[in-house]
Amino acid sequence: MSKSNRDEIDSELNRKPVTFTDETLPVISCKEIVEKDPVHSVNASVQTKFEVQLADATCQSIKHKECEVQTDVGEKPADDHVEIDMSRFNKFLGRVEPIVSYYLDDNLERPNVLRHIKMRYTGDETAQELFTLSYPDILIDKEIQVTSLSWSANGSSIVVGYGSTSHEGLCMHKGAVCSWNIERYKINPNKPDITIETSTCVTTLACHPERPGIVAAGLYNGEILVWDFREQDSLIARVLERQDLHRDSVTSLQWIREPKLSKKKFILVSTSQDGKILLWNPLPSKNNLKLTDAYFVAIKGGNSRSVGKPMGVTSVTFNNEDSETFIFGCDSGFLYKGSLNSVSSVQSREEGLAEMSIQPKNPVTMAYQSHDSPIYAVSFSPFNRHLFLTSAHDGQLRLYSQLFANFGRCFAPAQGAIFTCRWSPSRPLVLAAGSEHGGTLIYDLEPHEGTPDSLLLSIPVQELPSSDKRSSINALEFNHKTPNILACGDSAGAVMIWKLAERFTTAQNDEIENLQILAKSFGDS
Amino acid sequence: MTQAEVDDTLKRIQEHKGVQGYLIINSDGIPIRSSLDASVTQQYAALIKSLSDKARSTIREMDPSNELLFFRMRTKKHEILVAPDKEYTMIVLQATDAS
Repeated sequence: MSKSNRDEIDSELNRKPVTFTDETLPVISCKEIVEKDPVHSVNASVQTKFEVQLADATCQSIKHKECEVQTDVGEKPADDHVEIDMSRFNKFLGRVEPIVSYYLDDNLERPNVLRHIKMRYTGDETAQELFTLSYPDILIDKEIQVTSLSWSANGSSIVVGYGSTSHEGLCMHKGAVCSWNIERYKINPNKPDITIETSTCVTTLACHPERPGIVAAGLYNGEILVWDFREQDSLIARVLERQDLHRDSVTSLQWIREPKLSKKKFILVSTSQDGKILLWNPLPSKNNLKLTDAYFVAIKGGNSRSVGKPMGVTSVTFNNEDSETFIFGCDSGFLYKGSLNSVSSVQSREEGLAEMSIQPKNPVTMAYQSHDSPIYAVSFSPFNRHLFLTSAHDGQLRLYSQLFANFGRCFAPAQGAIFTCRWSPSRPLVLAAGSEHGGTLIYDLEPHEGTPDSLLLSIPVQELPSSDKRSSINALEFNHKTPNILACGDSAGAVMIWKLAERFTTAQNDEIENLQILAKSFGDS
Repeated sequence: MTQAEVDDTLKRIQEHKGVQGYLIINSDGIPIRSSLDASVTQQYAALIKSLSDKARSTIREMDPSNELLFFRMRTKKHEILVAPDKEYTMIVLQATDAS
């Protein structure tokens, strides 16, 4: 009894510990899994035996190394591994050093010795006529002439604007913009590649300086149109806000780099007979030319009735280095320096000024000695920040330095009005002018020994006739990509493409210096 | 003749007024001494080598008994002096308007 009782008590006492021992069991099973792993890795090491075959491949790469030595631009400039026979190398240095040293010293004794050697131009000096372009369809109207020219950004196409220069009141003509690619193998001089008709006369044209195909045109009625010839629907922008529009014919258009914000984007500058100089954002969304800034030139002094009336602006040129400074010529013969930073307000009650979306400012910062008649063209030298050129109806071509109010040089070719003038893009001392009776006149300001300066300047070094020998040259443009190509548009409606001789395109060593000397000399007189 | 003497000679050339740098190439056109940076050295070595070979053959062709010893090229920015020898060629760059 008692034993069975104890058994019962024992079993009761032992019940709890039994549960503890059960829980320790899973720990043991873990060890078994760990031991299995090395078995797998043994298999992996077996595979490495195949790599022994790769030794053949590395043998081949030795050949490649020899090639690499020649083409490799290593970090070390000189190869120290190349075997040098020191004694022979030293003998070489001994031979070479005296002669090199001699010339190094020699150069220092006579610095800039080659600067003063003049290049002698060889070969033909005459200009060669490449093409005479004309658009017979528009020339049925005898009053239509070439009014403006512009080379495309890549220099391969010439864009020509047609219009009339004689208007009494409204314009009843049809204008046109045509484009010829002069690099095409088969160019048809009487059929333009692209033709766009306009409602009134085209007065000015300007190709985008970087994007070929984009052309801006100003019309006689004050409209400004921008086309992209590569687009199906080529008209990409025009002025939609009528109150901002020019109220008289647009006289010049120019693309300039936005001077204030991005300095990369191009903006369009237009001048007009209504006295306004307007800045446009030409490639906006929604085809709307948006006015970004406005300037107004008013008549000052003189007759009290005319004070505040607009003074027609005919031409504008921007400084190469200081993009906010510009020179503009007026219909009245006045010549001014303007600034895009101007803040002075305009004193004028001219109709329509108050309604413009941007209030126009007075741009004038300095006045220059004026011409006696309308100024047709002003142009800054591409090689000197101070020099600029003007041409006017009085038949004079003048050189000014923007630092001095009086002109520095004046030459009157006695060939009637000078409708246009341009600097050569490649030779700092060469300029071309389009005259009323004498065709295109090319001047070379290069001083020559034995010739007095004053005499030299008045004689053009070359005269290129217009297409029928008597019409006037209304527009001329150098091709900036190939500077020996010059396009001249005349009043007979023809555009002549000339290839200039080498002496008009290759600059001398000291030519920019001579131009600087010329610009400085203006202050002395 | 030791390494130090070579270095002395090169230093003398480098210290001439207006000298922008020098390089010496061997007959294979491989630069063996240079004071210019790597890419410029490689370019000069390759281009001047072919030019000097051309010049040498021009002189030889005009008169087989004659030999090119030295030539220099005046450019807007600097003058390039080239001394082609039998085994090595020395090229020195000197600024044009060193004053």
